[in-house]
Amino acid sequence: MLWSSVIYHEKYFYVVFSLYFIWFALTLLTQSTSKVSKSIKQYDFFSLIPSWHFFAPNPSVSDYDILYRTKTKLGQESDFIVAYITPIKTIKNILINPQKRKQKVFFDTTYMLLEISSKKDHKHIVLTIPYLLNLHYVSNIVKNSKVKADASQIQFAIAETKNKGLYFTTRIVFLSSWHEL
Amino acid sequence: MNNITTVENIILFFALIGLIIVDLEYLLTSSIYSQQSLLTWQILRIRSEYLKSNKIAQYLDVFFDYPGIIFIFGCRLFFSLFSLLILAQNSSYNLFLIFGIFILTLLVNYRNPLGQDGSDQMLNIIICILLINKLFSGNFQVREIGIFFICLQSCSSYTIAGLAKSIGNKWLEGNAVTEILSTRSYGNLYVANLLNKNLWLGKILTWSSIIIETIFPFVIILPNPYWSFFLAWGFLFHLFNAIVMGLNVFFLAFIATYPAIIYVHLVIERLLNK
Repeated sequence: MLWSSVIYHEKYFYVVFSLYFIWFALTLLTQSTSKVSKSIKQYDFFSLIPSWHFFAPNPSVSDYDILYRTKTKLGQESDFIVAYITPIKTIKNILINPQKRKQKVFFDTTYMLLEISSKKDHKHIVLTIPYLLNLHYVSNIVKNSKVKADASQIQFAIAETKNKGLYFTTRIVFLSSWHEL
Repeated sequence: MNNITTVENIILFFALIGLIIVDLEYLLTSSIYSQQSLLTWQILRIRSEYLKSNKIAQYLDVFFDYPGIIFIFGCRLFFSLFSLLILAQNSSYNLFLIFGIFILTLLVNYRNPLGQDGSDQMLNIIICILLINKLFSGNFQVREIGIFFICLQSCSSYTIAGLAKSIGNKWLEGNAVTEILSTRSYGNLYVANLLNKNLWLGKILTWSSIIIETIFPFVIILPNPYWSFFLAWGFLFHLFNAIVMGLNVFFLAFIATYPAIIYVHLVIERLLNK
């Protein structure tokens, strides 16, 4: 039977309708931060269930930058060094904005780290993907840099900057543990 | 049937341009997928027990690790470009190309659980629906319900965003837009200075976005010319976001859904006039 004659069958309408109905129901269910929503989201391996919050209910009103510092075997700590700072956009970003991909990854990992660290029991944070990604990133910056050749341990931090109109405020909102390089 | 083909082609046109820009952006920042960088597969793969030990996982490593992931972005870029070139011809190759784009999109989404935004999510939905429509190209009912679904997801995205804003303190106070546009991430220095000096302007932008987003689905049932106000607002809203906030692909991903909204509006208008 040719596919072209098979597809006219009415039953396919009901199959596709059911698919869209379930898809939309899952979309609605995952818009909240409930346990049901989180249970569904953990099986959304291909990111097909959208989240339509867009800066809501808590808008993104801060910039987050990644810093790191090292410690030598003698215990001497360095100053904090910038590993990643949110870049300022240029006019060409209207058409193509490649830096937003990296920026969004840092934003997502920061958001997840802050969420985990706000919970009472967050000892396991060092084993989470966002923590490991940031640690891996800053560790490789140091390993590939000749400047910190005597560093034996590393610590990363997330700094939050807010524009208050007339001035900026910056504070550390997350500090990792010290890790061997 | 020709109307629905035109609607699908316009949606696909904008979606393909969006995907081409997305893949160019991925390729221009491809170093972040290397083993020493931020989105290394060596760490991302540990989120799944299946990926740690399974033999199939070892084959996936070839594509998901660096530089294999570049091949995936490159393939999807090629499929999108070719599909765009033959779009007007309604060639049967389009089905295979869209199927290829869909599979590659699933691979990209699985490999990169971080760093995606709403425009990627809308493009995912559009490509999936258009693939189903291409598969059932002879079944008008299936194609029409696909267009209705794109319209539904688009309208619900605005309403859900509006409702979520309506329970946020900074949104209700009227300061959200000013503060968002004052950041380096999503802001612009010139616009931020303007809004900080004219707080009333920021409040108008904030409150109007809550209201219009929440009631956006009225676009489907309002008569002429009121319904076109919502589409005009949406066009300018996404254009503003692309220029000021750098959310370039959002413009394409959401404008791509407007032909579906227009189609549904005309269907409902015809039904109401009967």
